[in-house]
Amino acid sequence: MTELEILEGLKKIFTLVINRNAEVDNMKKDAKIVSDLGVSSVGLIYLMVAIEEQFGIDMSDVTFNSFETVGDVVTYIKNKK
Amino acid sequence: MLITKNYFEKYTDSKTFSKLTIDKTVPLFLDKINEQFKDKVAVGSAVKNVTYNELIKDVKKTCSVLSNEQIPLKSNVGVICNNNYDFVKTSLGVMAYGSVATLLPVQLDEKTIFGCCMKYQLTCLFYESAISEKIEFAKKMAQNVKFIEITEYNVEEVNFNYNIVDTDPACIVLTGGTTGKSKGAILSHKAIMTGTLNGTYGIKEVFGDVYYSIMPLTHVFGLIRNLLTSLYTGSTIYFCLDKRTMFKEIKEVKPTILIVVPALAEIFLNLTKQFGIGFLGGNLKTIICGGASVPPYLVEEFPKFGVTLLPGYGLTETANLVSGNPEGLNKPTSVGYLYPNQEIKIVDGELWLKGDNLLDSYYNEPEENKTAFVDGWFKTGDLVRIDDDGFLYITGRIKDIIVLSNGENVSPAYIEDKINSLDVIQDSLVTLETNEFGAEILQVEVILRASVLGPLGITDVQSYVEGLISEVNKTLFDYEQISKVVIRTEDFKRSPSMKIIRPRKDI
Repeated sequence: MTELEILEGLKKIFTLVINRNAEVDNMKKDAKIVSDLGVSSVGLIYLMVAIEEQFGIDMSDVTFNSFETVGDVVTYIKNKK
Repeated sequence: MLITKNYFEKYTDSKTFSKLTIDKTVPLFLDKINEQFKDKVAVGSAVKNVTYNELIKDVKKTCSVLSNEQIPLKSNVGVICNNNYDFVKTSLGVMAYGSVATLLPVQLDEKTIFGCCMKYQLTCLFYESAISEKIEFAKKMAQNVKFIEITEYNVEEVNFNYNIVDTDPACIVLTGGTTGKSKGAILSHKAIMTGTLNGTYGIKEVFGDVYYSIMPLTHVFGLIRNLLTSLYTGSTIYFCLDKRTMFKEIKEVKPTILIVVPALAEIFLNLTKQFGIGFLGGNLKTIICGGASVPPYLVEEFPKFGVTLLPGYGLTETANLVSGNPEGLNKPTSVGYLYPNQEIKIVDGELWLKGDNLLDSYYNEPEENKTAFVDGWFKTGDLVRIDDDGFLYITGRIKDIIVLSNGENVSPAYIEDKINSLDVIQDSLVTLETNEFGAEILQVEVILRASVLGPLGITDVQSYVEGLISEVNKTLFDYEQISKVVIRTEDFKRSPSMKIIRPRKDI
């Protein structure tokens, strides 16, 4: 799976927790999940579960606080696949 | 006004309704469920399923351990254990033996555990081996307390204590303590059995459910609405052993009913939208939602996936449930009908209660007991109104009331509920602030619901939300007007049960 494919997959998941669709469409790897994208703590729990489901990976070795940017998540997923 | 059970009769078929009768004490309750549901699975898990009959045997063994250790009847016996089968057999065993199960939250630190041994004058403390390290300090310091590690006891079963009467204390449950230090509410056998029965009202098919329990069992919502109502209805209960594996477990367990706080219901909703209802196992029919104000959005969205979300209201002091929405007649902004066997009156807007489900008193809190009760009425501290159909609405907490300099009283929760009724708002917090000219103003901080806002394609979100709030302002008195809107990009500070922690200003 390429980084681009992962990023596209993530966009689908982020749609439900980011307030502006435009930001999801243009979501870049350097976007900070909490401070730039405004994901709440409740949203983070959802993201974690949704990513596990969508990508079929087990994330029990990290907490979502381990990731600062979208790119961090992409790299993590890539290494897991 | 006295509420009777007939109030709820029309929401359940008559055959089911006739089975909904009160058990006087925990021992009588246990005998009944053993007889009715003997070989059905009471507590399920990936490792082992425990039938009702096996559960009763294990509860009797706990009684036997207490008897062998000569633990005095009616004395306080602590239980500190994660949400699992050990908690079930131990807490029920202590109650059926005739001691008072003092339920200590498992996250307490070692010094607080010792503090609780002293405060509640425990004669004995049952603890789970997984947390034995945290008990060491208390073991060293509290030498009059008998410490018992929960295990599979190799003892003869003894009978329950049938001398217990319904007014005897059954358990002590610690109050939330989000607004102050926690207190121990003493709940009688009658109170918890009434609370258990109340959980069955207003739902058409209430027997034979599959519960997946997420709320802590040391909390009335977990203990009574989850565990005891599950047992009452011959259902099978599974416990969430680890929040990280919660959704994997839910898919396997396929619960038919979930009891959750609103923040968790919101996550469930988002996941269902993303992956379909199969993500929650596919058999889910009902979500009971409470513990904090329930956004109407959740009530309206879940039915799209075939799930009914029923908001309710309760307190530790009322053995969980005061009111709940009956299935089929659900008012999204209401916390529902008052459950039977309660007397209510509203004094200066505050809900006062009497009834079988009410606490006896707070343990060892003479000052608190003096202020909490008036002539046998318990003052809930909640501001309410009741509509013409008899539905209850919470309009605020007395402690949270903002007193303006002109003497007007503003209930932030009342305004927040109106704001939270907007689909685009996920959560809000109204506070009193001072503006740049030194005038006091009401400000609202909001978190927006991305799944609703996103598709609208709004470019100037601030103006859009201000426009919505000004519409809300039209429904408010002059002194309640919101003058400033702050859109938060980070979540509010929340308590462990995910309630917003209200900032307090020292006066």
